[in-house]
Amino acid sequence: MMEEKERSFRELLQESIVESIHIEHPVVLKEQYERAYELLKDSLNAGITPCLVGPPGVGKSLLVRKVAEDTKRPFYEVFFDENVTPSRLIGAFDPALVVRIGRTIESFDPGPLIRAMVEGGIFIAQELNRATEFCQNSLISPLEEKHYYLYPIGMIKAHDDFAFVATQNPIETAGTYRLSQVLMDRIGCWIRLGYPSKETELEIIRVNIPEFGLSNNALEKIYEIIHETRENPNLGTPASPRAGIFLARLVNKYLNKFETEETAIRFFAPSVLGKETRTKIEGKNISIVIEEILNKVLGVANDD
Amino acid sequence: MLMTINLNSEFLSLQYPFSYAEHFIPEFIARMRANQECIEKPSPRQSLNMYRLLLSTYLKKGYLSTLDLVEVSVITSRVENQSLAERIAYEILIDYQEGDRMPPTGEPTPFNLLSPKGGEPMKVVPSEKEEKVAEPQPKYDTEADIFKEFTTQPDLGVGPGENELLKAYMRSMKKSDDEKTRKILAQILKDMLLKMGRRFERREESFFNPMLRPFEPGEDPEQIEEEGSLENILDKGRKAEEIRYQDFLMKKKEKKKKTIIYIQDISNTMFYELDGLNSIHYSILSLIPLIWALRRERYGLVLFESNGHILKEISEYRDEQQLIDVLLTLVTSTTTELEKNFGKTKGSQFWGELFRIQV
Repeated sequence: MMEEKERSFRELLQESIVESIHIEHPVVLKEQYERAYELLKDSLNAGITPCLVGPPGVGKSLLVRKVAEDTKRPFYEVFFDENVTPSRLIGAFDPALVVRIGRTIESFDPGPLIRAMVEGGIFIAQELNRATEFCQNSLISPLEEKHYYLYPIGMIKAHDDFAFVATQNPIETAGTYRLSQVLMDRIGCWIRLGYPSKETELEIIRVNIPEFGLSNNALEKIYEIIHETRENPNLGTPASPRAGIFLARLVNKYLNKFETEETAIRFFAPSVLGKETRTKIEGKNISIVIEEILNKVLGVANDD
Repeated sequence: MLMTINLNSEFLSLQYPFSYAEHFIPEFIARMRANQECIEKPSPRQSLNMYRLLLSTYLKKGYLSTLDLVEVSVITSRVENQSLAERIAYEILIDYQEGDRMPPTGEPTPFNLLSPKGGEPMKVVPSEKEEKVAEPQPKYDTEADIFKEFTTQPDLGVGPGENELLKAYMRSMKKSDDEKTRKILAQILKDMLLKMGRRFERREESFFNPMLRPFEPGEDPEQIEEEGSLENILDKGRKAEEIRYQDFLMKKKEKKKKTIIYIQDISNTMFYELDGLNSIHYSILSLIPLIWALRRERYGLVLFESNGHILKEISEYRDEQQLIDVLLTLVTSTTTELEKNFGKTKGSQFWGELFRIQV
């Protein structure tokens, strides 16, 4: 029984392997996104390493993926944190094979960075400012000089189409570190992304919901709630456009189970916003702040 | 007559953009390097990147405008320097409009960007005499020793030579009765101190746990514990062709935190004023960047006069920002206000009460 289940899983796994992942929804390229998209492309054309800087959920990763997809380059991405080691980026020799055949190309298991360098792809370093200094140092030569010395195989020269793109959260975000001076100096273009304008954010929410069936009024209310988290002085970490998408998706999907759209929003909002937002004031409960916001935007709830 | 010109206008396109960029870029870099607000000075790489990006934009659009120059100055500068970069880029453009460093009369005017006829594309006509024209000199010395400021300006600390700006902020705070103004100034001061802390922040150290675990793909083979792995392979009786990567054992890396206790004197002797500031101000100014830089370590914080006031126990979680806000009240409050607080806290202990901790 277990063997059969395992075989079935392996067959499914084989079927799931695809050449590349495509972005499912249209990407809204308006205002800051349009400019950032153009700058990303210009930087890559000019051989400059760009870095997108912005709070979580504003669409940094999506924008880079869009550029990779539009320029038809394979892309590899790594989400950095303290546990990512240079070996995970560059690759490592399989010690079992090393015992048998030594350190050769055959015993080397390439990591995403070397793959991108060799294939001429885009390497996306997500949240680069969470990387350890050890890891940052291993990026220096691939990033500017476009090569990497892999001992004992030799010097690996990157394909002409190889590009490196970084994203990072603002330095104030928890868990981030300053990038080393040498690495910062090699990043030539710093593109800032903030929260989008109302019109753009509403459009982002709309295009990200399959079979969109919400009224404009409900959509406006969702936006107002999200926007209010950014204005509320009690909140240190506000809600991102991604939170708006999640909230709208839930309301859109389960609308028929509620009497009104507002009831549905009031029901789902605490679960969605409570996950992302953080209070600034110690002792102030996040659910109380969210309740205050909901009451402000939707009016005080009638418990009867 | 005051004339307002929109520098962002696309009409201010440059007909010979690269002869302009050739001057604009070194000037921009030189001014950024010379500016005190710019802590991390731009390198020659930034100049190259500016040229490259301008070329890319030019090839795409077919022209360059003043807006492109400003934008390229901003995006090639680090995020924390971007507002300064924008300001300096505009300053360079405006300087040329004012006429300083203009080429001698009769020669082509390369920077008539802001002339009243600015609605027309700028025309720079290269002439044979161009070589004879003395190159406009940048306002700042491009070969300035960027390390000079680090050798001549001491770090913030107790004693003479502290950052004058910080001192000025603190004096303004003390003079201001307006609570709102004081809050704004306190926020500015806090931002400066945290920025300072970030400059020497350090990561937690790691150490290797003697416990071994199997190797996983993607891990650094340098960390394989050879002796342990060999023993493991021999124990399992593996032949060379049977060895799998799981047979190799790794040393386990774990984080190691330092334990620090900050003890801050807030007794009467610390209130002796010199130059409008007292010893508490100086020590708090040093303490805040230190706490921020070492915030990932295990630390405790105690204030003491005749009594001790624990602001943070070692094992306790406290929001650093909030802790710093409280420490800043020692700087932002006037001596009278502090004395008043101490006076009323003989029994209840103001600081302990503030944090709901009784010593």
